Amino acid sequence: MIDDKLAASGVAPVKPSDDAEFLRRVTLDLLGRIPTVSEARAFLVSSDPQRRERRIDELLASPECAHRLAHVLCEPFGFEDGDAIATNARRTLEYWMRAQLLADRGWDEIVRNLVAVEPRPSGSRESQVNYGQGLVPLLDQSAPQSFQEFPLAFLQNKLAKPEELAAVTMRAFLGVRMECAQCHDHPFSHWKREEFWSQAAFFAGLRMERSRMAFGIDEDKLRREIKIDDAEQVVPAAYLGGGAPQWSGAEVSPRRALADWLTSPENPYFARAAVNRLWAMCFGRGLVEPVDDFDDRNPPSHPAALDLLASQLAAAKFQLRPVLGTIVRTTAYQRSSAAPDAVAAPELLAHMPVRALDAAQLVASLEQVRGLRARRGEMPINFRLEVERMSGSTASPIQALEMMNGGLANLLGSDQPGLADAVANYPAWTTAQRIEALFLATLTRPPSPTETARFAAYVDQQVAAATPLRAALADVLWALANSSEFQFNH
Amino acid sequence: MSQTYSTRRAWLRQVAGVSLGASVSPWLGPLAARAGADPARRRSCILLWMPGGPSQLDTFDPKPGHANGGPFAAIDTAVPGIQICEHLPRLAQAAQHLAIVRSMTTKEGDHLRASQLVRTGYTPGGVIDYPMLGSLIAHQAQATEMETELPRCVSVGSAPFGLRSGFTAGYLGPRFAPLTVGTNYLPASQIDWVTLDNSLRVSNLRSPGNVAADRLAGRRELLAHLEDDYRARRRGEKLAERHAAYRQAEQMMQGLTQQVFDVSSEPEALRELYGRNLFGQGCLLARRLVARGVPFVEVNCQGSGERNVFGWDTHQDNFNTLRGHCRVLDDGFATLLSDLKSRGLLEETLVVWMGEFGRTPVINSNAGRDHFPQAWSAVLAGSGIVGGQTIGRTSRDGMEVQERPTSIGDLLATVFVSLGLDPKQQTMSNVGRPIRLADPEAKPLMECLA
Repeated sequence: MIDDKLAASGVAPVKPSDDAEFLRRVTLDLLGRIPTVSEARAFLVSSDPQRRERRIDELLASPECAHRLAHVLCEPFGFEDGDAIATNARRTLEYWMRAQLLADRGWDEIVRNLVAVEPRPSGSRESQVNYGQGLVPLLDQSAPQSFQEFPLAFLQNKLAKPEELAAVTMRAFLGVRMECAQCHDHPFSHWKREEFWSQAAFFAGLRMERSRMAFGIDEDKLRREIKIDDAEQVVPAAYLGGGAPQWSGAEVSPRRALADWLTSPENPYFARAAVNRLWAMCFGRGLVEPVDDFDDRNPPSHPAALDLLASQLAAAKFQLRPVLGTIVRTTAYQRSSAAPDAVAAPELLAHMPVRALDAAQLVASLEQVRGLRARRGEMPINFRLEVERMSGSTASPIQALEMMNGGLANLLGSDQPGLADAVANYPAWTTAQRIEALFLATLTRPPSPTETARFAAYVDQQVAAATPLRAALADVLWALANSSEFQFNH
Repeated sequence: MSQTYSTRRAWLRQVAGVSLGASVSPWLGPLAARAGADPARRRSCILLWMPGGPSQLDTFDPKPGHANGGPFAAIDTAVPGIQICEHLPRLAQAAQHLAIVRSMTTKEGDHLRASQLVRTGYTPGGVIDYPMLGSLIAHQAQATEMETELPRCVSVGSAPFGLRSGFTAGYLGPRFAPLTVGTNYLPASQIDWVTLDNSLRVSNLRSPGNVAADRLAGRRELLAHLEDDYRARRRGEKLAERHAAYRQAEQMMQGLTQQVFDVSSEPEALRELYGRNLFGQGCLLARRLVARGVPFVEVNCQGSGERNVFGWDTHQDNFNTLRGHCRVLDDGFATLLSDLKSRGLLEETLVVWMGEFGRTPVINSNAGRDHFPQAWSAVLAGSGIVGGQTIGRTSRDGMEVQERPTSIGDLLATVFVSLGLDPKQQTMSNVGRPIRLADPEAKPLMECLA
């Protein structure tokens, strides 16, 4: 379908990606990190004609994929970047989301569980959160959930305010921006103020109590209407597009009715919004772009493709990973990003766009290059927060300084133990082989002959001048880690 | 009507990140007149930020005739009829430069939310990631006079809430984020000139010291090799941006940035006048930066640092704490004004003094004052400001504003106009909705403006 539109616009697609390009891209998109050296080597020397298919299946089945997906799915929930408390809260929600995915729950079930999550009243042991330090809640150890999962963070993050929860829910799960309608009828779209508040009314019974170090969330489950902001008008909870909810009784939260309606097969937005996010995860832009702006004035670039994926999701009981599989198997996804000079309109997907790594990908990739496993304690916490702040949307000179001279430089470019050290110490390798290992570890490809010559010459020269081998290799690693090729997903 | 909106929106999306919107502001007249005087000259803003919420009764709005006034006396200033707290004697002598707004009134009493409200001009909590004042100003600044390698938005002293909204560039993106210095915690007893100097330097400007020069050059060359190759084969807006950022970073390493952020070259006598603490030396750094055309510098005042209190948040032992805090404030602020004046910079530099709210006029049982957004003070001085006056008035007991209630939008609108900016100017937010520099209901304080 994508190729049809391309042909119609007279734009020629570029060639398919080569193996190295493909492996790096799909690993970054599905696992959120670059491939390891052994993964790279194994894939690049394989002569199996089905190797891409196989790799895709392996990646999708990996728990790391669930973690990456959880991270991406939690993105629209509005946790503020760079703040230690919010970052930790987001992590607890991600752990919960990951567990749901690993248990093969469908997206509809996950959303229902999240929107209608049972509140923890103040004073209950479960609600104790060390707010000042943003630590995870101390749940009863004998409870079935892992103590790191905390779906209540979804409500807590917005201080359990109904209007904010309504806005987040609409954006995240339906791809609809209703915030403007909070104060007045939406200027561009057709949403009315009353409609916005009728959604907020589902959350009206929630209340958050905060003491110095803890919080709790109570809910008055009988409360099903809300007073609009400063006005006198009271609006009852109602479904968008009309329809009064069937209330199930005093024990069931009104949010459950909202959750059921959100995820019902008749809801035209739910599946489309979900697959659109998956598409954006792989291409850097959704079929509807921006991804949370489904609107008549913002039609999808490929409506048939969107519908096809949406029905696939619904048919697969809302399992997300099969749809991801479909997306990364498309010809469009597997195209190269090396583009000729005339760059076509991005939505045509004539070539894969070059995308900056997001903060999580960058941190994970750097940790891996550094030689550390994903154990959080090892990287200096300031550096992690710094990198997490570098969300990759626009680079600033301050970020560049950090990458060149800051924590990264200290970790990679110096003589500390790590990858450079390991490669230096590997017995019986030639300089060229050591350079190759560093390239594979960072760029997922072997160096070209010119590069090998150039880099090896540098290393040999340094060693001849009495620089330790690992220091010279550290310089190579510094250059690789600061390169655009490393910091971008292409 | 919907047609117009959708085309406007489509057009706005194309020019995302650029300021836009023709305005029909009534104060365009005086703006144009000022700009006409020297259109190329851009004005800078120094924000003296008092985290915790400074007590207005014990600084700029004393109540000597009332029990709420507490033990501090009020003193005359250089302006007949205006009195301020006795612990700000040097500022009293500089009162002819100050426009003291005593009628600030807002609705947020929580530190974080109030900070966000006051620093962005908009109520926090929704999906829009509002930029802080400094980022807005930096974004609006033209690069004409400025050395382009210097950062446009600088913050001295750490943000108390990490990097939450109100302390970031928000939807304007990392390019307009503040460059922060002076974030190391310095207990008062351990402050010496060298520690202060080091604290104010820009981090990461120098390559790690343990790497030899030829290796530094060598690895830069290797990087250049990789970059040239890669960029020959791939295009993209993000790639170009990143490349520009790296180039600018390398420029910053050349020396000018390092030099400007080095206050150790200033005469010791002047440094003593500013005060041997982070706030004082931060004010000195601010002067150096605005002299080079940096559009915005914020200096955080944590007070004397001797007491275990969050900035000015004096819920207890208010008066003992403020003796020290006011001394630090007085030295820094007053020296800054006179230093700017003697260098001819005061005409082009706006100095703003404020915190996130004021403090209760009624003294609590711990000899402290609690949060009080209903009536507080802010001070403006410098560029475009008519000094030597008070704006608005609170009641005798300080409990409410009686004349000229001023919202934060009104104050920020005044700030923008005095900097030669139009408060109705729009920028594109992260939800596709254009946001004005100051909220649309805001009206600048015309009596403040020259």
